[in-house]
Amino acid sequence: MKKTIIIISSLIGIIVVLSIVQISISNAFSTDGITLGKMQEKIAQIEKENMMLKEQLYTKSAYTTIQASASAEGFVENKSSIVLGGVQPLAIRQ
Amino acid sequence: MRWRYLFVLFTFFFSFFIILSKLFYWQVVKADELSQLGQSQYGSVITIEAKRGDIETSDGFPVVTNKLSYLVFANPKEVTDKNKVADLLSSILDTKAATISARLDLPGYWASIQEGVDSGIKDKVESLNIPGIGFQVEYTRFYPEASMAAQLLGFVGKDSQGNDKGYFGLEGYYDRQLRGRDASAVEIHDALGRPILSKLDNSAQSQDGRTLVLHINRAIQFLVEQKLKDAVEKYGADGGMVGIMDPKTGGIIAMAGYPNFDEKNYWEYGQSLYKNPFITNLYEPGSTVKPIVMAGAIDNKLLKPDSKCPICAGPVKVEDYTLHTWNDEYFPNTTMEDVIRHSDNTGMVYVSKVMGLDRMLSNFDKFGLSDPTGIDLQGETASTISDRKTWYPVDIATSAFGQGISVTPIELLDGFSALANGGARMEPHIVDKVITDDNQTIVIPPKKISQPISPQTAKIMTEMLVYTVDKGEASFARLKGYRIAGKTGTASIPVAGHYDPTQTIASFIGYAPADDPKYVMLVIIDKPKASIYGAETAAPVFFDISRDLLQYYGVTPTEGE
Repeated sequence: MKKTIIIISSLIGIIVVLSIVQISISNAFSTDGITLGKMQEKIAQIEKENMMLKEQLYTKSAYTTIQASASAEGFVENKSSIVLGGVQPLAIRQ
Repeated sequence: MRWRYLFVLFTFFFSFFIILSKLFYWQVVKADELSQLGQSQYGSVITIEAKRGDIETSDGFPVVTNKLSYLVFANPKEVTDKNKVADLLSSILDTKAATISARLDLPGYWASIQEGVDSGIKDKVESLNIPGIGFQVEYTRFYPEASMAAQLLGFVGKDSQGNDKGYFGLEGYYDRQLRGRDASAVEIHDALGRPILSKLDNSAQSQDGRTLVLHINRAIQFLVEQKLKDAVEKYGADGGMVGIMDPKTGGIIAMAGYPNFDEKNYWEYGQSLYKNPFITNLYEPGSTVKPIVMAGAIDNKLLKPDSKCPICAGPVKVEDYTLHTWNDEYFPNTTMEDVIRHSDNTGMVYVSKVMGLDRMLSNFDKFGLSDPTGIDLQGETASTISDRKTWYPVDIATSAFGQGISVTPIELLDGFSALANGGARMEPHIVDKVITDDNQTIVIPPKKISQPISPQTAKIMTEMLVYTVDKGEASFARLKGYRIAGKTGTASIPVAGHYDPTQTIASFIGYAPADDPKYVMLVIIDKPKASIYGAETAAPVFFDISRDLLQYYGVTPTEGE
């Protein structure tokens, strides 16, 4: 009889403890959804900014843009080139 | 007593049967439907959209990538003053008020207003705070170098289901690799719609499209497109094209056609411009095919560079036809070296007679002039060499100087590249590497297709072609100090059973430096008005591009002058 009472008490105790644990955890997690929502918004914002920066970077480093800027600045194509054919001395003794 | 017992037993069994049947109906028959209904009450299905893969040039610069844009949509049931909303939206968006108004009048809860809206415009629309107007994020193709290499890259349109699909060029050929795989997931949220910290129930992992890294050199492609456009305008031509290939690997360094189209607004251009002429246009190659025929004769040990032509003193009669040289100048007992140098049609007729039909056909076949090259672009066409029974002696004679047979520019470029690569013909390829979404790199190795001639013959042909550049019709345009191998071509255009005497396809094909070629290049100017000859139109373009290419590759002049 005593043994039965101990078992029943233990089971009730476990149920109570587990219920308290569950309530605590649920309580702790209940505000995490808001944090998660904010994080997702932040990630989306950063991804958007990242893509827009990439777009700007690629546009500015495209040859078409560089050429247009160079022309606007008055740069012209260099048609002549100098070729050093033979072996050149590093220094000449005079 | 017994019947009562049986009645109670039966009632119990019947009740259990009813319950089990209902459970079976819910758990098995209607399981999917109820599961979805449940999910929709506590969560929402979100689509994880796969990004289409980038296309990068050899320097790692993305010539095609994605940019963030928005689909503006409306819930017509929530829009109160439809005309006012239509006017407001049309003042910001690129859609007419009447079109927007018509879409807002549609039955249902969802109507698309405009796709591909930029972030700035989306912000302007959002600031209006119009009830019933929403935005959906989407990715659209972005071309940092504008229309550069458009015919090579192709474009992305929609398929019959409204999904993105690549058409033409690389977008078409590599569509399955580029498109990736979308996935859907259920995001659980609370009564206020806030997401609950929980594992997303992914039914399948999304997979972004693969990135293609090309052999195409962005600097050279840019340079070539500019030079080609200038040349077409200068010579008053209908169009033009340039292809540059690394003969050792088959990698295509640049490929340009003019006129071109803009992939971003492809629908504004004629469909004929979508096709890449370098792989689709069949034309009679004219004299640019002579080195290929001569190489076959030398490789078969039928002729040598100093072999004499016994029939070159004047026009040659074949059946009922009399075949002339291009300028009606004749060189009795000319050598094979000079036959190529003077682009002597009568000399080539002699070569064809020495070779005979079977060897001629076999030679064209070995150089790949009768098959698709296998280039990794959508829409490649190829000529078919007609059955040997249908060849008359005059056909054999004219084919030796590139008339009466047709090839695509890529076939000719690839066949000619064998002369530059010790006789080995490589498969032309645009894509060098494929990068998967988990950063694995798959390298596409160079592939040798055939060995039409021996390395010795290739060397002999190179010397003949260097001699042709230095002493031939286009020698005025050559780059002094460099050994460049090349050949002009002026092909007549067949029109209604005869050749048009006023219009030609002018071309020049060659490679440099001749002893260790960095590239083989074919320049084609279509119907030039300023001059009909390849030596006066295509050759100067070839050497103009070569000057910059040799400087780019750091090749210094090797000869004095």
